[in-house]
Amino acid sequence: MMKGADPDAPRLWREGDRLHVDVRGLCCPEPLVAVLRLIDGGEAGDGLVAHVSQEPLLLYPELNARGWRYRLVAPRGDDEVALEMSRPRA
Amino acid sequence: MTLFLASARSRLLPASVPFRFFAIAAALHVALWVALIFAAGEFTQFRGGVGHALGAAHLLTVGVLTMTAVGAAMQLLPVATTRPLAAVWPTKTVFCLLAPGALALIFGMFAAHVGAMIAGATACAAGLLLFAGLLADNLRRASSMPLVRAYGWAAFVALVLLLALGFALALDNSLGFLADHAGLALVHMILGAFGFMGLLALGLSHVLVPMFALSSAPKGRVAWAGFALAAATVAAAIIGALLGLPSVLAGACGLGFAAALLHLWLMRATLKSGMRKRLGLSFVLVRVAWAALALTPLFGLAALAGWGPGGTLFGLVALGGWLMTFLFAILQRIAPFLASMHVSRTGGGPALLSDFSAAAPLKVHACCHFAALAGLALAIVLDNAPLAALAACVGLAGALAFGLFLAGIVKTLASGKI
Repeated sequence: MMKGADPDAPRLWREGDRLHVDVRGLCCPEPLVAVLRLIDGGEAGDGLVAHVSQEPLLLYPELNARGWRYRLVAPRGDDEVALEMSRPRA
Repeated sequence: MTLFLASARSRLLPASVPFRFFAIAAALHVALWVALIFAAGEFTQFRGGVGHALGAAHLLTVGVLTMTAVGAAMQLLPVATTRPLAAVWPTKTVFCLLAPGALALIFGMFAAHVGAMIAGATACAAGLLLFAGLLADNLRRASSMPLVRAYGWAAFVALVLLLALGFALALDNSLGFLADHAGLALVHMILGAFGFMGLLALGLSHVLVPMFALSSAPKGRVAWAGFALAAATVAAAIIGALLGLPSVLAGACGLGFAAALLHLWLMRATLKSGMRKRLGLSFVLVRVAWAALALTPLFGLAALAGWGPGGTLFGLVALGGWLMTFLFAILQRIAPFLASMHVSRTGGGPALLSDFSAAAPLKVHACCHFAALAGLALAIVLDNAPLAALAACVGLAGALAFGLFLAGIVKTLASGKI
């Protein structure tokens, strides 16, 4: 899923062992759907960092229901915050 | 588990703001069915005019539908557009004007008290104009979601016209300056049900249905065609009602039927591609509401063709079957979602949506709601007032059950713990 092929697709990349997804600029509820597709589809593995335009309120109940831990990292700029998510250890 | 939440840029209003609208809507929902029990004799042949049936109609439109839609829109729109409201205090002012205004307006209609009607209409118009301003400001600052914004702007225009006309109709009861009160009352109904509420419901569906089904929102030319058809339906219906042209009204019904079918096709595609397939009881209500949406223009055509109960059935299917069913379906989904954002578990950790799912009251509400609407429809066809009163009793049981569900959430919110 790389931007360019589909302007509405999120950009994905890896930093170390952690998958990152940039969902900034996508229309509601695309950021929510993109992140949950990665988590439910198994691509995220045990952790994922989502780069979002604003605090992803819609995502929290879904992560809570899946038992995932998350923390919002301090804003990087006027239009970006990062949400670090991790699967709880069994 | 939430480790850190930076909420400085949050678009979440204090829980007390949307829930005060939801609570009064739930209370007036109970009052609606009580009113219908006493207005059953008038209701089966209602064609407009001041009285108990008009009061009951406004209990539904202003008390239940508008109150729910305003509370939900003020919270959901900033989340959808990613633009926070300019301030919180105007949302509280909207409530302070709208709630007493609605009560005065409805009392005035029941008691045929023109002064109360005018005072209520004034307060409602002021509150809803302020809401319209908040809506316009948020839409103006939003840069994404052009389709939802288009629906929002169309609903905004309809709301402003609706308020102006509603105020004029209330004044006309005292001054008698309108040449065609009944024709303008029909325009007022079209603007309210299909312009403001209808377009807002259709627009927010493009966010809410994908959000619940975990699917992509409808987009592209077909989705825009859906908006164009819906807006053209409202415009044609207004012109037809203003000019008193049944042929134009029939054309609006045809456009409306096409708009409804296209909307249903878009929503079906959204659900089909969604990651969540089991959508629960709320989507049983949503599907019934969609069926009522498609039936509404057909009942409009039946009324235009001269079928006696057609006009009253048209109002029941549009306001009760489509809008009320849809709003209660959405409210039972978003109320637990909003509550979960403000409450934590006693043992630590965030509250889950399942913590707020009160299955029994919602099942009772759904069964009673459907039975009451079916009973009212039959009562209209048979012109049977006792049957309408019985159906209203069943609706009252459902309203009490829904009130119980919402009261449970409010109680949890008040304690802050579950």
